[in-house]
Amino acid sequence: MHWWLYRKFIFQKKLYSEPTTLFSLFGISLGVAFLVVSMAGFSGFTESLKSSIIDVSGDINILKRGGWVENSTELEKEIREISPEVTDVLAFTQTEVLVAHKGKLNAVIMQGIEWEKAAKMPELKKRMISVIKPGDAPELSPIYIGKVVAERLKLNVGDSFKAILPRVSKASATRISPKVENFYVEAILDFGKYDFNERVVVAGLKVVQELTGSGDKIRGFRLRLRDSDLSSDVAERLQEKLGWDYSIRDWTMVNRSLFRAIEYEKMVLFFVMLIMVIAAFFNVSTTLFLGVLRRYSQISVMRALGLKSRDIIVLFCLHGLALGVCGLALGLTLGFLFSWGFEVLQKVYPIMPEEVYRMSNFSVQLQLNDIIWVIVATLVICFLSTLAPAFRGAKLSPVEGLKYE
Amino acid sequence: MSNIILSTKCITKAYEMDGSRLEVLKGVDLSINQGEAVCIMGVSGAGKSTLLHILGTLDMPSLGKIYYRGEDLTRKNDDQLAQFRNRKMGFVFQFHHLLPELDALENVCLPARVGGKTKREAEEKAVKLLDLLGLKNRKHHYPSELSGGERQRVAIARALVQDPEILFADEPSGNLDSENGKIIQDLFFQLQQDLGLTLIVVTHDQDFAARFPKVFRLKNGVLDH
Repeated sequence: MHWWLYRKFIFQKKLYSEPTTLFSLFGISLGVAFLVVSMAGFSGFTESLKSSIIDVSGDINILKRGGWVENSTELEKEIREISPEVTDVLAFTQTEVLVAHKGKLNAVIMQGIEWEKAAKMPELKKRMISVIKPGDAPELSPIYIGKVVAERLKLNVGDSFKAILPRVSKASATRISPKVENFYVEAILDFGKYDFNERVVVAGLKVVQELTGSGDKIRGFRLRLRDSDLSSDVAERLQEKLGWDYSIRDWTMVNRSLFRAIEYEKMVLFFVMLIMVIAAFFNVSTTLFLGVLRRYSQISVMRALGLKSRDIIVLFCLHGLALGVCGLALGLTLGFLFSWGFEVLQKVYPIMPEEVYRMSNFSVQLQLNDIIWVIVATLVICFLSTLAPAFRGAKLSPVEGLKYE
Repeated sequence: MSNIILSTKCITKAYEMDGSRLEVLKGVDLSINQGEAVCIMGVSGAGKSTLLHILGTLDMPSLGKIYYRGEDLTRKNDDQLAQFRNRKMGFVFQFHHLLPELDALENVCLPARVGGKTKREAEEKAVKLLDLLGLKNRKHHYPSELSGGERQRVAIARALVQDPEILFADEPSGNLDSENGKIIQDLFFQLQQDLGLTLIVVTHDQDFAARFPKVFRLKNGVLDH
């Protein structure tokens, strides 16, 4: 291997300022950039969906089938024993209620969680888009509401409203005796998912227990694990140990088909975008073929002086790979910039109809795994694209190129 | 013991063009002794460059054999021939064919580095040759910064760096003015005598050919001894 010679040939400024080379680089860069953006978009969409589900329902959601959990302390202890991966156990209860404000009504799911914990929970804190100023709180029960509920009922932080729970009277099955509780909006949340934003409100556990008349009983637990990816295994173990009295669902079970569809779509898009990169590498082939023709006399001289055909193949493969690496580096940089720009822009100008995609915006996430795939795929295609011109160069007769200057 | 370094047996070179066959060389037999200075002459299109390329193993005959010290070179594959050329043969072409990406010193070093010499060994030898050829101050100049005569002298140094047994030159002064051409011609004879090289030169320059003790004349692909 004659690295010194290859270096001399490949690292020439002149070579990279030729129009054919610049067009090749431009093509590869764009292809790689789009590949990076599309992968980052899909990964971000998946992660946003995952985090929105986990923030509302926990990594694992344990619900007592058809009833209430009466011995919550014991159950919590049992859960922690079965699964040491659990970091947080949050007791919750929930009920469907009607909320009314300024003559408008909306049916919502009211979740009751331990309020002291709720105020400190980072998953709720990070989702607050407006929060009441300290000292402005009225003497009522505080509640967090989803942003679509707030829009529909024209509620702002600090506003009070009524929550109505229709209950069938114990005296007569036909008589409805509604239970009413007044709340004030402590914070408006963006759960990141349209379904949650239009349906979920979060209040204190005790208030909801009082509203539903369930005493100190709860509906179940939300668990946070040290690693969300362990959820399926832990959920399976818990189901096995706790039995079928409990419905145990991890975050992957919620919208499972959607997650699977996203995974397939991401794979398909990867290959579709890869076609762009392949097309771009035809330019590299063309550039190298031109290089072979332009360097015909040099190839002939090198062959005459003793370079073997495989040396010529290596020379052109390395030349192509150098172009590929430059294009790749440029493409990755552009891809990072486009991803960042896309994330900023879609926050300012939402491009996704929320009612269709059930999400108003999503974070763009560059995953190391995706980047490695992009790099490997690009380099493999690049290498393959160099082979035809490299073999053409090696096959040239040394004689023809020596006849002319 | 035979002193023949290079010989051919019934060399024929033909090209197929549009269904017709064009024979450039027609059964050429020749033999060249070690240390001999030989000139191949002929008019344009007589096949003299083709013969030189075949003798230098840059091209293969359609029929016939080439022998180096009795060894049949037509039996070697491309890579074996490349190695053989690197060790035994030096080439000077009508157009200098220096690599523009390399400076004079690197151009001269190229065959030695390809042949496996270290950078230091190659440079030591190359510097000596460049000094010998009067290019002491031009080592780090690129071909584009050299005159025609200087480029051809660098090409000669490159041809000599591996201490070849046979030096091939195809119209070495054909692209130079008469003064520089004369200098290059003198240089060839001086080097041939000093280094004991076998010199095989193709030219159509009658004056240059007249200086050779042995001249082969090619006419329509046939050798006239």
